[in-house]
Amino acid sequence: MTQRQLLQVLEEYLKGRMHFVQTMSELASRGQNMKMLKNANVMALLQPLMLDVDPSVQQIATQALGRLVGHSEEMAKELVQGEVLPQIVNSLPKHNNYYKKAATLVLRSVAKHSATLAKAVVDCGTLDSLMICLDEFDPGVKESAIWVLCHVARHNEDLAQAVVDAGAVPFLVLSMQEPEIALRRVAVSALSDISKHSMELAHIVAETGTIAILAQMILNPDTKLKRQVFSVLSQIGKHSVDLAELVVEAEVFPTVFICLQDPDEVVRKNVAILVCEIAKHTSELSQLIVNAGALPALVDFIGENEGSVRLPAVMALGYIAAHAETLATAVIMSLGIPQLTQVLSNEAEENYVRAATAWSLGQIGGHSSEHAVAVAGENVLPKLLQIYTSPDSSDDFQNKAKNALKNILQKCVHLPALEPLLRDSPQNILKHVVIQYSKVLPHDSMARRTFVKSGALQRIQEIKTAPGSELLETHKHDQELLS
Amino acid sequence: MGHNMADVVRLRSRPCVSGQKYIERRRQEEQDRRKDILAAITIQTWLRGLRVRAYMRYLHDAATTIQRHWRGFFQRKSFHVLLRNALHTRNMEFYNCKAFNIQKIWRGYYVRKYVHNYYARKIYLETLMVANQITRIQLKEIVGSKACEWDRRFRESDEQRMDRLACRTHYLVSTRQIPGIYNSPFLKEPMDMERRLIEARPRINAERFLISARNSTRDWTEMSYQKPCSIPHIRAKKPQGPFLEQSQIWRHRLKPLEPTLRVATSFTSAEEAALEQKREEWRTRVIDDAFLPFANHRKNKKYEPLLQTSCAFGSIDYGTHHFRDTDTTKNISKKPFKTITRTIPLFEKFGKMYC
Repeated sequence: MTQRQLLQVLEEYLKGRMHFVQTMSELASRGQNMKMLKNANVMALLQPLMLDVDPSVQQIATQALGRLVGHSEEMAKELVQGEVLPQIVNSLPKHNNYYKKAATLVLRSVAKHSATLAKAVVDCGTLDSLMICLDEFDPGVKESAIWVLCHVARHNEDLAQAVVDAGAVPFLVLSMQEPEIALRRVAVSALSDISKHSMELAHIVAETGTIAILAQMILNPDTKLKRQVFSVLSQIGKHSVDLAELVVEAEVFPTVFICLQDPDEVVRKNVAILVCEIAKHTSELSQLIVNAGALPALVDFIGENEGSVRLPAVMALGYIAAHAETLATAVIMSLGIPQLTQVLSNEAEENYVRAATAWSLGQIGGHSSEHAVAVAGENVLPKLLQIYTSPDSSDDFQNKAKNALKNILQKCVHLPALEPLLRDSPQNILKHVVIQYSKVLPHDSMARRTFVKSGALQRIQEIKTAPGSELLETHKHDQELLS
Repeated sequence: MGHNMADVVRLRSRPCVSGQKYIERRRQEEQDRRKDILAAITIQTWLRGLRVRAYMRYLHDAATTIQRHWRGFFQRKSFHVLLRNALHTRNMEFYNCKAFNIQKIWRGYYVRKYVHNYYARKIYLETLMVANQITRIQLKEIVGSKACEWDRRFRESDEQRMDRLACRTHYLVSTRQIPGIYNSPFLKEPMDMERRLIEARPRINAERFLISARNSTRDWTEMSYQKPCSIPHIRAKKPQGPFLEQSQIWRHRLKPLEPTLRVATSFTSAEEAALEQKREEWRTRVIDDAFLPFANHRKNKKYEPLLQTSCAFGSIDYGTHHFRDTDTTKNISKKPFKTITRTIPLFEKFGKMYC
């Protein structure tokens, strides 16, 4: 065979391989082909092609594998068992940018499924190669490398710690300031995944001056970047008081409320989560937030949104009101209660949102009699009672409704509000109601007259009580008072 | 009464005493003796009682006086103490009252100011409400202006999407023979999509590349060998002859430019190279004199004129160049410097002797 013939055969072989990997790559990008490809055992065919001589075949084979693995976890496990990962990782620094992107695609697809797979990826020494990738100039390569880190750090604290130990955080902070939007997005989301696990990790992220940079990115027009920025800030702020104070000192606060009305839903939810996490810690922080004008923003937010988006805002109101009595009064005066009652009555699907609303109402009303009166004024108590007694509310919901009722009732001395509760309530609630009556009636003759007139007296006399119960005793006490 | 001689003598000497009366008197005395004794005893007891009583009274008085004086002294002493205590308690009560007052006022002030300042709280809540209103208004303004921007961006992206759609489906444009689907004869004027279809222009590959690069939510690995979007066929004529394969064509089209050496060199490269060479030679040249060839050495010798002939004829002014010009006004001192240390003779010989 002559030289030319040999070359021709080799060229055809190369063409064949190229065609194969390209088609596989296209097919793998669609999810519905997965089963077919798995049955055809394409993985075993693609794996040796990843170590092929020709660089473009190598690269497209890696890309195809990456897409395949991205769709299913079993293929990822097969890939890990096939011990191909160490070879990919070792060859990562040596090849050109296209190969790097394809290889990082594979690593990312493997790492995103579960913590064990991510650990396997890290054990191959990926992190060092990724650090080398991060040194590159090409932003696409950096983006893919950071995306791998993101997926690795997402699963649990040890992996996030491993990523931080590899020295990723300074790179991430630098990448956040690059002009390319995609790179910034992915860097911020990596920081968010790292800092969400524990306080030390959040500290490490916060101490490199990240928060100031993030605060400047808040008003960036790009939606996905804003989502990630707020997510990082809330993950950092949720761990401890110092970190929350750091976030507040970055002067995010009045600006953040603008984004509460962003057209994108996820951004709004993340902002509400941020406010909730910061208000949770201490009363000074809540006071700071309220002074910055949180209350009108939150109340309007609750009014305008639907569903689970409202949940963090409702909880934020609850936490703010829980810390101090002045703040609870402020919440009441900002017309928070009509909104909360509206949530309670109108929210059709999400029961956990209603449970949170019940909790918040309990926190607001539990401080003093004025607060209890304000809360009871919106006809809240019968609703809470109804929730508590209805059989199709979940246990959690019922618990929260009961605690809220108890809190409010212990301070409520406004008799017209207590009256509707006399009719259908179960024993333990009724006990509290009657106790409240017995507190008010001895001192107020007007109340006594209305009490008798409105038939509440009759109602109390109708109550069948078990002997020896507290209810009986308060009942007797009342009767004595009236006679 | 004893019978003494003295008595007898005294009796005898008395003129009027007779014996009978004397014996009667004595008998009477004997009979009255008991009565007298009793009387005497009575008198004596009374007297004794009197005496004792007087004595007792005296003693009593003495004791009373002593006690009186003592009590007075003692009580006066303890009265001082008592008085001092009473004064002390009265003072203390007075001070306590005043202290209570001060403490009461202070506690009221302190609690009202620092622990639970009702008016501050009231003012705080009122200002908070006002601030909330202001915040609401500000937020509305900012969101209003942002809403314009968001709207604009949304509309822009919508427009771009419609333009891209028009680009892809440009074959739906209406022709003179066949009105397209967007140009119904029942409508007064054609729809907006028609205008877009007419204005659609084919996009070059580079633009497509850039557009998809800008839309970088997609993976960058898709950039390398991109499958082209299928161009719809114009059903006029059958395509001619056997063409090359699509993938080959695209590979050819996307192949980066590898110019030959002839094309890559510039027109003036020869001159530039010569200049470059000259510059390098000048840079590395150490000796500037032209190195004349040995062949016509004697002929090519350059003539060096004598120094005497190259200067002006005649001698120079006396004192200008031959002798050293000394201007002693600028010297520090008038005397010449003396060397402090002796010169080292060995170093004098440096360069002059052969060892």
